[in-house]
Amino acid sequence: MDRRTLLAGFGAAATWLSISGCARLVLNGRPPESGYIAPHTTPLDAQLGQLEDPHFRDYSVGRSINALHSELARKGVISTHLGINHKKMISLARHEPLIIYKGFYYTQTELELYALAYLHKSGSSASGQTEGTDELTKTGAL
Amino acid sequence: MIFNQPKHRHYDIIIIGSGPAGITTALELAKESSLKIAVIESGLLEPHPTIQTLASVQLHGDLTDDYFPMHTQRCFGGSSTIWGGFCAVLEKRSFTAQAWPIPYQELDRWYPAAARIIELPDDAYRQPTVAIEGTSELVYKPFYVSPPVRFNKKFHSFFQHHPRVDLILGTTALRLKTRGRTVTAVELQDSLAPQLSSTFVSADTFVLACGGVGNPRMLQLSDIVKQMPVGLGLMEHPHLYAVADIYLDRDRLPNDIKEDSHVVHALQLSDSYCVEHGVLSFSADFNLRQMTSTVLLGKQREMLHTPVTIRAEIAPDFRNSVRDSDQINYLGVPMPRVDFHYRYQGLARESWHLFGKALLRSGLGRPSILQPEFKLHSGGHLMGTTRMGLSAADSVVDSNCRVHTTDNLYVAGSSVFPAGGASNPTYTIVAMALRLGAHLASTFKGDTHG
Repeated sequence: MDRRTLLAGFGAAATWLSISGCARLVLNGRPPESGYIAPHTTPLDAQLGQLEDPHFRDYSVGRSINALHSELARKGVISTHLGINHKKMISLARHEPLIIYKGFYYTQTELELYALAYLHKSGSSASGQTEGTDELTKTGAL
Repeated sequence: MIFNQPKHRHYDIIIIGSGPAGITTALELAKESSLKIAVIESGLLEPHPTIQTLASVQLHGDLTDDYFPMHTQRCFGGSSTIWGGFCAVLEKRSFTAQAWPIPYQELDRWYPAAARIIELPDDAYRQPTVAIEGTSELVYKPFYVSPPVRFNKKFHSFFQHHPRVDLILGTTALRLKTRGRTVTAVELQDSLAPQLSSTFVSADTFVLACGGVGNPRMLQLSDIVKQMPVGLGLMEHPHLYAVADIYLDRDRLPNDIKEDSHVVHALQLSDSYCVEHGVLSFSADFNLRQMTSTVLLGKQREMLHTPVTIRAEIAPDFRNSVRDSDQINYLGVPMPRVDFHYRYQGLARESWHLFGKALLRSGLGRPSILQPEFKLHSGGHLMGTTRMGLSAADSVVDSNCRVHTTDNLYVAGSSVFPAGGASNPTYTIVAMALRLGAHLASTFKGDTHG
């Protein structure tokens, strides 16, 4: 390897680090409950990943990942860094009206969470074609 | 001893009917060594097709054509010759709500002895319900299955050899003869020889144990009705088979439950919930066969997935009744007319919704909706036609099962139930018959002593 090639290599590496580092700084600088799902795995990501189920696709249709995220965060059910607050879910279940979805009873918060999980998974599949990805694109997260 | 006609012209006690109620009353009374007892049975040791037609009725309403005489067997052992053996204690709900005029303890004290008669495990009365951690709205209430005990087989030897208890077969009680408030005799007819003259046998005390149709019919045919609601308020237990699905958190159910052919697992709305919300008892049977992965309250988990069969209580409705028909049977006796409608479709959806809410909110499981269309099946449980209560204005028997307007006529069986709960009735029938037998024995003992 000659000197020019080596310098070019360092330059490219520095550029990549700079871009990715800035991106991380930018991303980490966002408020945690703003609706954005960070590209690195958070506790909430992992939990939503476990809950993802195409059974809830229909409920997610027409819903915004941002709006669902915000609503669930507002209720105190999810936090990007703390994950799902199951006690809060049980507490809310005692007072919420029940919704019938595909023949079974759910609480509204449950369905919102499962829809978020479905959209989250779709978004993280990075196909660029799913509704979840569309939402991420709209918010500029991608 | 077993006879085909009465051995004596007078007995201390005559019991009409040899089903679980009649036999159990006789067993308890036989402990009193001074009593001479007759049990009158229109059928024989085995079912006889001609005699069986005596249990036919003119039927109007929701019960299927084969309901009668299938569920009103005219033979020694009565309905115990065909029952499935499902047993559970009656819910406390109806006692707390004061549908029954006696405290629950009056019944509860007889459940252990009744369990021995129908060969149930001790848990049937020691632990009839199990609380579920984290909810007061639901309880686990299993049904225990008797072998099932066939009273005709189990107690044949008792009747065959007992010197003071006569089982008189093939003899139909036509009507009771009264003088004032006292029943003096019963008119009897050979069940297979209608051309023969009827005979009368007297007794100090009479017990009707002829079932939910037979008991009110005997009062009606004997003109012992007056202002009492005899034959009114007929109840059944609507059964809705596999009418919904539920997912259940297996870990929240009692630890020791397992697949067992002698136990039917069930969840019920708790008695306190039912009383607080003014709803009737309601039981949801489930099984433990299938585990599946699903989500519940924000967690992915392995859960039971099971079909649900509902067994429910309906309120007494005086439009459901037993009364005279315009037909007579081959003995020349007016046949009964039975009018019965469940009127349960709306209540089923309402009750299921309450149950479903309790299930989901407790985090115990997730219910499906009820099937859009479902059929109501009967349990073969005829209840409430000589209901127990405080006065003749709204009931037929008092808290000791004595007919209000008489001094010496008693009723045994589920016809005295003023509320039927959501539990199969035989266990309670046997417990109540033990209670009645003990009451009558003590009455006689009191008389003997002076």
